[in-house]
Amino acid sequence: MKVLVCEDDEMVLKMVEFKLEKEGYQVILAKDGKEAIEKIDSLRPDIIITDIMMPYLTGLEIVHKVRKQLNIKVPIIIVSSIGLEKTVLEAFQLGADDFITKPFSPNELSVRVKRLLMKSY
Amino acid sequence: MIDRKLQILVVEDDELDRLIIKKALKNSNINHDLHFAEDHESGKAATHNQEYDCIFLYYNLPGGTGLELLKEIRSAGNQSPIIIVTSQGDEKIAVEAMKNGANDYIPKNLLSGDGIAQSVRYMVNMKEQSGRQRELEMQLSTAQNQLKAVVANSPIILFAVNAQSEITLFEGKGLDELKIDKEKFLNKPLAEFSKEIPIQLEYFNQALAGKEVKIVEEWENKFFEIFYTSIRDNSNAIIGVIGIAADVTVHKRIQEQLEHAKQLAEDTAKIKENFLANMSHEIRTPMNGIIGLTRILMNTSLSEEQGGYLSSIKMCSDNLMVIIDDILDFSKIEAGKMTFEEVPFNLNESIKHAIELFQSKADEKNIQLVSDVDSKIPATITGDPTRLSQIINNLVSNAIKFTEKGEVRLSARVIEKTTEKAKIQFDVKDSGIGIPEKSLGSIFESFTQASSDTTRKFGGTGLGLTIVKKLVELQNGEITVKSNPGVGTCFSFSLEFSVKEVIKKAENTKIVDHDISQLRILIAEDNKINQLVVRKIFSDWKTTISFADNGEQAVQLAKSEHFDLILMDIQMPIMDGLTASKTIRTTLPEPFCSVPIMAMTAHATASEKQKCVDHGMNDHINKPFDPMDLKKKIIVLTQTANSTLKKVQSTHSESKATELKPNHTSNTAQFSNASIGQSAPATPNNEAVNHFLNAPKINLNYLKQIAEGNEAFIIEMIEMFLNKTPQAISEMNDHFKNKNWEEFKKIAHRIKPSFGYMGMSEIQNALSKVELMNDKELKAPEVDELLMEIASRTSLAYAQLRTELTSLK
Repeated sequence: MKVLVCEDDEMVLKMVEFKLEKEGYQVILAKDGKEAIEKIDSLRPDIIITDIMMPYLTGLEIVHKVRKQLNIKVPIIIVSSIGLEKTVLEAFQLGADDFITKPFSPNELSVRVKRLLMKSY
Repeated sequence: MIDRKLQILVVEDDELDRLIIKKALKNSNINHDLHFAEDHESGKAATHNQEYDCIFLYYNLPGGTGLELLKEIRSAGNQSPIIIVTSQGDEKIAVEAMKNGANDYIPKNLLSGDGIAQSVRYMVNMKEQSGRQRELEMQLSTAQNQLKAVVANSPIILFAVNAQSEITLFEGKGLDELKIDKEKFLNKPLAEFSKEIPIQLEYFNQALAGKEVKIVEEWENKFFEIFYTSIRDNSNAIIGVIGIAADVTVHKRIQEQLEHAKQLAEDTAKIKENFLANMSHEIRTPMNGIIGLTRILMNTSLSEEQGGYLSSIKMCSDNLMVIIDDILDFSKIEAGKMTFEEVPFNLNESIKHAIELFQSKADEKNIQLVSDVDSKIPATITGDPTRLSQIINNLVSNAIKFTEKGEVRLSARVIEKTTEKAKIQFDVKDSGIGIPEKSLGSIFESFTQASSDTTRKFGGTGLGLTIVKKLVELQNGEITVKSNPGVGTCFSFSLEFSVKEVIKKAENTKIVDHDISQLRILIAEDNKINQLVVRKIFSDWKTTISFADNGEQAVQLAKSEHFDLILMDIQMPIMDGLTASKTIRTTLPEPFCSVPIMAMTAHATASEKQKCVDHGMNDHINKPFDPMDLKKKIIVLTQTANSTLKKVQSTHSESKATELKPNHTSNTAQFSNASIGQSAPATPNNEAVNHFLNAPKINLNYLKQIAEGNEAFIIEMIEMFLNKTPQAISEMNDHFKNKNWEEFKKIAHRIKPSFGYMGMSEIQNALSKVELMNDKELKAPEVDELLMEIASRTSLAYAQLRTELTSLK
């Protein structure tokens, strides 16, 4: 199972990578939205986790591009912050599957990942 | 060849005939003694109790026929072979004689040497064979008689069935008991009678297939244990089944009675256990009211007289609580229901606590209360701190009670230590009245005090030491006592603790001054007096509270209103607290489902606490609770300890204060405890600042929990934090100074989780707050102050993190 994680903070990235790798996933890291889209296109992950606030391309733009340009049905989890509920709604409308609020517990994230993967298979 | 000398009798009166037979025998080369009888009478006399190897009996005898003598000899039981000597052509007589017991006949004209020799040898062989046969028959009949006697007199039924399923044997006294007429069944197919006798075709068939079957069957209100086994012939082929049925009714009845008695005992134990659990609750609820209201009353203005009475009430209820605890603990131990926790704790703190608890009592009696703790004791040990405190408190309380002058000394030292375990010996030594030697042996027994006087003079249930001893022994420890009347007593006990877990627990900070007035708390509690107590406690803190009378109401309220915390009683009508918590967690939408929930329990056991966690509750507090403990737990659960943050909240985001989301990094109470140490003081005076500066800044428990032993990961994370945070903080401050609010907020957003990872959740929360402020709010001087605080705290944390790094490497 390949998980693409898009997040601009390297500590968060490291934490998520560590947790998911321990769970047995292959983790693909992307530090910004541009890198994320490139890697999604070339590596075709089984699930995407992306922060909303990111340089170059926001999380919302990533959702939009994945659904409309790349035309991939891969599950997407949006990482949002408190107070950005409107953005989350927007993300859902664009085709995101789930969201998790920052600061999130890696355990919760891994549960949500598992659940989505189970749904899509 | 016949070796021995044969004894031969000839019964004949005719001289000539005698001579002929004598000559013939002589010519036959048979070694023999020849005896003669000449008539019926002498023949009878000669055979009286005298066996011969062969008797020649002539048919015509004086005084009767040979046939008559033959009959008489046989009826006298003489089995000697008899040959009837007949005249030529007398075959009829010969046949008649043979019918009456003669073994052979010989016509007179064949009485030659060869003829007679053949006849005699034949007779001798025949006699020997029939002798052996008789012997065997005798043995067989003896054995059969014995077996018959055994079967007939045993309370069993012995049966045999042949391969054609026909009953071939049906014996035993057991048949009489069942009034079964065996004749009716013998030689009949088993299948015809399976309803009349307790022999089942099914088991018979299994036995016929070579299997041994043992079953118990009920038959006419009696129980039979029936054993079926196959019988085999010489070639080992199964030719039938033999069965033994024994009446086990008496055994069965006894067994049933035993089972019934056992069930009854178990039921009784269960009732007792439930009774205890209920009593625990029933007694505690009113006590909770009494103690709580007394505490409240003590804070009101009272006259000196009233204050005195109130102190007495408080002392009485405290004492009563101790007695209730004793009785419940004692019952729990007796019922084998005492369980122990395995949690990491600080032994120094436990001992400090015990000393603080009894300091005022010691002061009252003007005796010294001192502690002496071995520096080799690990900072954190794993065991049951509550039970340890119970043991120590009991012994210290006793020591103070029985000491009039001098000191009570509580000491702890390591007596054995491995990398995983430490055995610690605790001594409680006093300079009190001591215990007489004759009482020392029974001092740990229930309801025993050194003298009956003692009870009157010093009070107590007399259960304390019994409980202490059991608590020590149930944890595989030992307890001893030494005493010298008039000089003092020393109780010593040793317990083993695990030292593997090295979680550094943060120091408790003063929480009295923390303000929790902005919180909204829902209290689910059915007892009106307890509601009153809680209402009063919270009114002192000016916290907004709402009440629910049961679990269902609590769920309804939690669904419609926002609360920062729910205090949930466990035993409630309509819906209990566990169910209510689960309902809130699983059926309510965000954010209502993630409200922190704290259980209010009466004397919770480890398993009850686990149940609370399993039902989604975050923490628990024992009733009756100390208001300060409650406040401490509330602060931990709602993370509102930081005064500066609160100031920011109250001035700039009043409306959002209630939306403050608890930090759900972990749902377990244990983890939330770890963040106590991050609380900062309320008043920004110098002392508080110093305190603040000295307080621990970091907590790596969370990181360690995630790492699950992978130290390289922890090191990597810390190094990353040390490398990137200084620049990020300075960038963030630059943006702030330049009023680049958006950039400032972006950085705050980005770096916020890393503070969470290092256990600096107050900074994490602060960053969450500023991230949501609008430009106007950000211009407030408090934000400036907050940023400075964040910067200074972070730089202090670097040093601590570097120390951690060194120790990890």
